Amino acid sequence: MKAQAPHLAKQFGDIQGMLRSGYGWLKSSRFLLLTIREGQEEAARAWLAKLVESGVIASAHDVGKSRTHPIERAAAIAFSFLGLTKLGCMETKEHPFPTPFRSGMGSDVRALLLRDNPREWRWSDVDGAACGPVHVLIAEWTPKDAGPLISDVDEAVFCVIRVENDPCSFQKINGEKEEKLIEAFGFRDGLAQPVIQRLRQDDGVGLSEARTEAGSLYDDRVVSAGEFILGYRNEYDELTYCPNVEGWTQSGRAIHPGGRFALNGSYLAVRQIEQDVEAFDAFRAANGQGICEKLMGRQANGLPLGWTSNPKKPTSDSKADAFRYRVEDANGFICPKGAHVRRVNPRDTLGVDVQSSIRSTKLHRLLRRGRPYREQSNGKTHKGIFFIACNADIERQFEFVQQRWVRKPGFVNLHADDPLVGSSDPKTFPKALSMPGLPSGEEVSLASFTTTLGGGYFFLPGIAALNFIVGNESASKSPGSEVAEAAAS
Amino acid sequence: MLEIVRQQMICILVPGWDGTTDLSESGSVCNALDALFEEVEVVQFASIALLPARVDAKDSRPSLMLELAIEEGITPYDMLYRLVYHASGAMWSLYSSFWPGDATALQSERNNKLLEKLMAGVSIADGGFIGARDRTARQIKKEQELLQWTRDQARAMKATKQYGDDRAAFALALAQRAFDEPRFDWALDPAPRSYWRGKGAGILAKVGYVLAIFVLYLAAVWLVGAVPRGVLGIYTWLFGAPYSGVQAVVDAVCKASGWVLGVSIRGALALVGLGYLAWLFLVALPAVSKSWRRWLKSVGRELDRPTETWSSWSTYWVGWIVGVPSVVAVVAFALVFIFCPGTIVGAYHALTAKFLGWQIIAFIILAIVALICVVGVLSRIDQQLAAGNWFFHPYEDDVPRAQQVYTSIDYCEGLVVHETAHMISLTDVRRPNGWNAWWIRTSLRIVTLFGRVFFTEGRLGSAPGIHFGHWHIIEEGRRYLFCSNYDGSFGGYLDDFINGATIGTTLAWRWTTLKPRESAAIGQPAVEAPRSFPPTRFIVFRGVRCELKFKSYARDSMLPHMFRFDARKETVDQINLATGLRDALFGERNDSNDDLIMRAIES
Repeated sequence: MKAQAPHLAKQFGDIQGMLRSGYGWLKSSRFLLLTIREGQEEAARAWLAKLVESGVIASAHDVGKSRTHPIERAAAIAFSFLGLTKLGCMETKEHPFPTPFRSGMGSDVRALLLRDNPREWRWSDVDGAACGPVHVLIAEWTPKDAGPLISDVDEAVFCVIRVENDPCSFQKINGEKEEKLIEAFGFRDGLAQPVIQRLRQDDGVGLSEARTEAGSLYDDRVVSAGEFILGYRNEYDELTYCPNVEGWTQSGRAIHPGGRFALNGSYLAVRQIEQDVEAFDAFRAANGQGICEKLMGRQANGLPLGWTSNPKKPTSDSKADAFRYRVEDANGFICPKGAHVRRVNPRDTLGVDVQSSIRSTKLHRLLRRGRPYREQSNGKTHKGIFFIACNADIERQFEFVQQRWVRKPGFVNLHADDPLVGSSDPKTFPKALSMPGLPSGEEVSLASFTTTLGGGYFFLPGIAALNFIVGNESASKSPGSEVAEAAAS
Repeated sequence: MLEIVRQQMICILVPGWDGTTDLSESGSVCNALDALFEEVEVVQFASIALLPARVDAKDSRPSLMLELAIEEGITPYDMLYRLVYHASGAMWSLYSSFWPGDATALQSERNNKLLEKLMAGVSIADGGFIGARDRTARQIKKEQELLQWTRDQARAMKATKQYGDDRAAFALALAQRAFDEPRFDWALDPAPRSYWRGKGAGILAKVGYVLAIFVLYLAAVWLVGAVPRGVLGIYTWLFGAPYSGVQAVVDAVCKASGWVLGVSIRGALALVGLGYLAWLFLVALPAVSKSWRRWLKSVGRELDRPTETWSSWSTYWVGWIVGVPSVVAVVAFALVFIFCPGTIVGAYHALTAKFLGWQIIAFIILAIVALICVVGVLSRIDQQLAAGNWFFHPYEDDVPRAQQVYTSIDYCEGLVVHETAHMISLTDVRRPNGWNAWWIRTSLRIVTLFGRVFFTEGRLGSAPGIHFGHWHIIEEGRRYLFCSNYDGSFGGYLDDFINGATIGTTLAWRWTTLKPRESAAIGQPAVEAPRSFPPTRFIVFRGVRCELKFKSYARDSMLPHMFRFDARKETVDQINLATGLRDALFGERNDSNDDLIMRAIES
């Protein structure tokens, strides 16, 4: 037998906290996109090292310490492939990074594969209009109305793009006590998240409570850790591939003996999506809220369209997420088959039967950690989503969902793009959506509601790997790592 | 029957490509080929790729491969004749570099040479599957026009809001409009169907076909013995006894015929018996016993498990110690029954002489109860160990250079993202080549038979979206070529195979390996380090279940296309939808047809 694979429960201290929690109680969020200026690599590394040392980077262990007194601030750092290279992390020949990450979301070939053409992006992980490629992504979460956590970015070292918080993104609905995340079109967001097996997520609801409320459908959302965290078993029961970088093994920083650089990391597929709220409001005025909900695939308060209980009665997110399509709504009479939510997570819609369909869908789940943002320019307020999807296999997860479900006109034999994030190019397919549940399958014409402003693939390293990247010498080596170091030398 | 399918997918391999012909996308050769395939109408898909030479090959230049997927019922010779002798001369422009300086030769002379060379390089598929069976490119085109017209009409009708919420009335109105449209007169005839999807679709027809063949075979064997005996009898009656030698020969033939007949019948009975046992243990017992079901599932899971664990390792070795001897014993019993039934009869008499009937029955019942108890205990142990976790905890398994895609392959996939995707994979047959090539051929014939007779609705197993998938054993059994065009992305395609056709895919690929090779041209992938197909267990387990290894293996074996022609770009589902709409619009009015029409117009 070879060496044992790491036990997830023993690695929480090395996993960045955003993989364990969406920080639902921290209602302010900001994102910094940093490009390291030419010749400033050392200064950049020093600044990042200082940031890491300051203790703002939360680990999964920090997140799980206490449910009654959760952490009051959190940040995460991720790097694009060019960012890692810029900071001196060269992939090894034997264990290079996956091709999609190396080529970058901003590359031409990814534009083709993601059906993104035409693109008019402000920034990407490959190039950018003003600064060049984005090297580092920093996300921070703070309590509502708190000031920014990271405000001292040296602009002589970094070219910075700031994505600011939308203060209206958390609101109370249906008279509930808790404020919930609402995106710019007025719909609840952040529901239907996968539950990572053996990683109890702490977003305010107890595990047994969530399990009881979802009943037998709870298992539909339980996904193997390896689908999101590198180095663990995935839905194929296989250990997810971990790339390595030069010098890592010799550094002796691996928390798990023999663990490669990417262990406990994840890939982030990031997109800045601007939402045309005016256009959507005009559509709502013309067609009514009911049609808007059909378009989205959920009620504005987050309940499924087929919800039969009293909608005003407070319902837990777990219960609201416990539904399938095939048995009750195979023809899309309630939730159209082309609705946005049904496209991004078709649950049991595809496949030959319910079980195989659920199994197959689990191969393509995404852990969403995005938040709404707001920006002021030319006297106008622009709103949107800073979309972040954590996944361990970019090709099988994010790219598959984008290419084969969301942006595929022929998805489940339809002939139109996604109603919300689909192409605005009228030459491709009509911007229209059928409502099979309405008389004669009525069809509505759609405006272009969203525009993607930028995007990139980032690697979210484990804490030890993060210290290695920023050259943080003060971070202690693990006991097991000395063995690995000795073996390597 | 299999020949019909295999002939539809051919690859023409011409070694010694010198790379002087311009095969750029907008070049004259590719344009001419596009026009040629368009005009001959029977080519549904074509592609060109360069196959790098084997490291041990005498000629290190690559082979030029032309892949053709054509309509049913055309032989490779007819197809190539039609292409080579086409007035456009497109095929000559592709292959002219094999005869440098021969441009001035007579056209007929050139074409003769070319046809001869191409026929020498023809490889008809050793196995294949066609998703949109019984549809021609022309039919698909016409039906797509009907689908598009129906959608446009529906959009216009919805705008008038005349039909309220009556879906049946709406569907009827659409059907009437289609009926009144003269350009769709062709649709009045129902869409043609292959025998196995039409009249032969029932299980009775499929089983009956096999039975009929078997009975005919038995009759033929019986006649081999009966006819000489009859002739000899008539001769003896007419002219008296023949020479003793003739009598001996006839006796031998009769005896041989009787022996073959007996063996065949007992062989069939043994097969039925083995099938019954398989059904009993794999279907019936799991249905009635929860413990058995759970245990069987866990055995399958452990044998398939891609990571090394104590549970998987121990299951595998228990399989060797208990499972394999049991299976060997059953098969040996079946063989004895087939070839030496007297031994079994003797043993039975000996047994009944020693024990009474009720004792034998009691022993069998006790054996079954003991087996169920053992399975129950194993199932219980399984659960207990699961709680401890260590038994199932995985061990590291290094997969070097995983999730890597060569740039030209990535671009090829990106460029056709709105069309059907395409994959060309070239691997080496494992040694001993002859033995493994035989196994591959056998596996592929089974896949082809099942694809032809059972999987007639566009899915191979439960893997959807395959237009054409064909396998070729080339270079005297040394290499293995797989070409396929399909709906979706490469990763999704392989996921479908891993989940939907696990055993078939493992069987088709497990005899191969990937040896180092040079790239065929600048910008084309090379294989620097050898890779093996993921290890299998008991031939059909594991294999493709090792997703990382399997995808890396498949990715590294891939070659980019330099040219591709796709007569129709619709997905298999869209093709089926359009055919269904044709039959629904012009068929009888009922709920099912109305529903299909309304589904077809959804956006």
